[in-house]
Amino acid sequence: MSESLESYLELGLQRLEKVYEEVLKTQGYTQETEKLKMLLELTREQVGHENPNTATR
Amino acid sequence: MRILILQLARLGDIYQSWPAIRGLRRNHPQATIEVLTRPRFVGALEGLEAINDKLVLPTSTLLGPLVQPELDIKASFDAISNYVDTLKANNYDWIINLSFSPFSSYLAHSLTGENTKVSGYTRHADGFLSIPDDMSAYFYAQVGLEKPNRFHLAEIFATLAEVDLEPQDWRQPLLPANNNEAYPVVVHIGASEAKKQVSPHKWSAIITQLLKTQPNRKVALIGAKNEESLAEQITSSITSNNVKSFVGQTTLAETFSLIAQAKVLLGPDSAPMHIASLTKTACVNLSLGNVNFWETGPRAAGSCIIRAQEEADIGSDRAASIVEKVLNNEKLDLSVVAVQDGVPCYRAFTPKESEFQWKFLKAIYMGEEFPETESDLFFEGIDKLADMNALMIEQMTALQNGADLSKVAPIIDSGEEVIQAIGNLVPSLSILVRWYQTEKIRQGPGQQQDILARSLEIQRTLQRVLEVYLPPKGEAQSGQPENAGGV
Repeated sequence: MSESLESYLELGLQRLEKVYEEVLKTQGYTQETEKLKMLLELTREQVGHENPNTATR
Repeated sequence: MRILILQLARLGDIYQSWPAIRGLRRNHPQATIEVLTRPRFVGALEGLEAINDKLVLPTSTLLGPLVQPELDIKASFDAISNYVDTLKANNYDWIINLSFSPFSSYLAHSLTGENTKVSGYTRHADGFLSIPDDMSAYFYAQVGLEKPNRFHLAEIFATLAEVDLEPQDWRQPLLPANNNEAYPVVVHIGASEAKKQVSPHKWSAIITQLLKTQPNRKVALIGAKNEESLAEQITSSITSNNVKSFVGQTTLAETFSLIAQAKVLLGPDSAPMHIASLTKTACVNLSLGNVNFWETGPRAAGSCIIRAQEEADIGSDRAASIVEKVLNNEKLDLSVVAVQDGVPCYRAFTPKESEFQWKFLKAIYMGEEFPETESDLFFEGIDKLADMNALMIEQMTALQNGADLSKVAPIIDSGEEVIQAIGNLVPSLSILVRWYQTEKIRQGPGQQQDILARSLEIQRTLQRVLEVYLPPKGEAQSGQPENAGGV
């Protein structure tokens, strides 16, 4: 995986984690919060799937 | 019936899902079966006749707005919202999540309608992990590196899909006619993870040895595009013209074809090995580092696994001699792990402790007899667990009878920490502790009284297992378990 792609994903992950915490605090766990969490986890896993040094299951 | 299978792992796991998906088709001949994969790995569904449709997770659309200088979380959120809503409109009757990942569990929950059955990880309404079925609970507690599981992933997937596998579930796809030359020996030089990789130097040495015994033997090298330089290093160090590199030049279908025509595939724990299981091509698996061969090893008859922590521990002569034996259908010596019929699907000599752990696990989950042991550490751990469990039962009962939660809760929390610590200190007991903790997790959200009642039930089940190894009051420990297994 190119370093720039990895750094974008990691930056995105950090921002998503922050936004998720804020939304969870203000709105509680709703269908929308779940979708945000899903996006966060997809971003986290994408780093692993692009990186041959990590297992995926 | 409309069934969605979530298989969001890599090529190897997708190929290991084929037998389960074929069994699912056998059980549900009229169903619409769709499989969702990541775009990079969708090729691994090519030729799988049991499915109606291949769905691809649109990762570029979903994550594209995050992978740019001005990252746009809202655009990504809108994209995932639309995607989930569109997929949910398919109203799946059954979602089978074979992925065991956080993302897949949230996706499974988001796609769940009023009448959707879910197998595999999903989520409760409050976002907490939901483990709805026993196989997923088993996976959560006992599968993975450094864990005692000996069930192969193909069987685990099949159980999740409620399928009893049959030999014909392992078969290759219908391949286009191929007039290419056959190569009796195919070597997969790459690996999905760097730590599983065998070096070009080692491959050269093994292939050179194979050519010494039969100089006319044809050997094909396979691998991905980014492994071409490895192939060049190998071929440049071998003088024979009988070694041909196909690395970076074959489609997955062509790789299937090469492996199907081979007599043996030599390679690490990776996708081609799982292809060989489907083509019924014997495989010599060089299994390096922390790989749990019980879960992901080759399945074709005649296959074997050479286990080592580092490749330096695998002699080239020895590896070549094992390949010769597999080619000649000769009996393999006991230093290798050999494929056998039944469960577990390998014959391997393992340390006594490891055998005890497997039997202990089977007693807990499958109702087999609890095994004997003479380990003082094990009995000491049992004693401590029993003391702690008795305290937990006492406190929970007090809570049921109206005790103050604020006073009891810290005691119960401390008890959980002690149980965890015992699991950490006594490897064999970690199996029981992980079962216990997983059952606690499976409770999910609910009314306090309901959670308490279920928690007490779990503590009492734990007590029954501990009593198997506790001496009857007033007697010394004998090492003889008293009861048949099963929780």
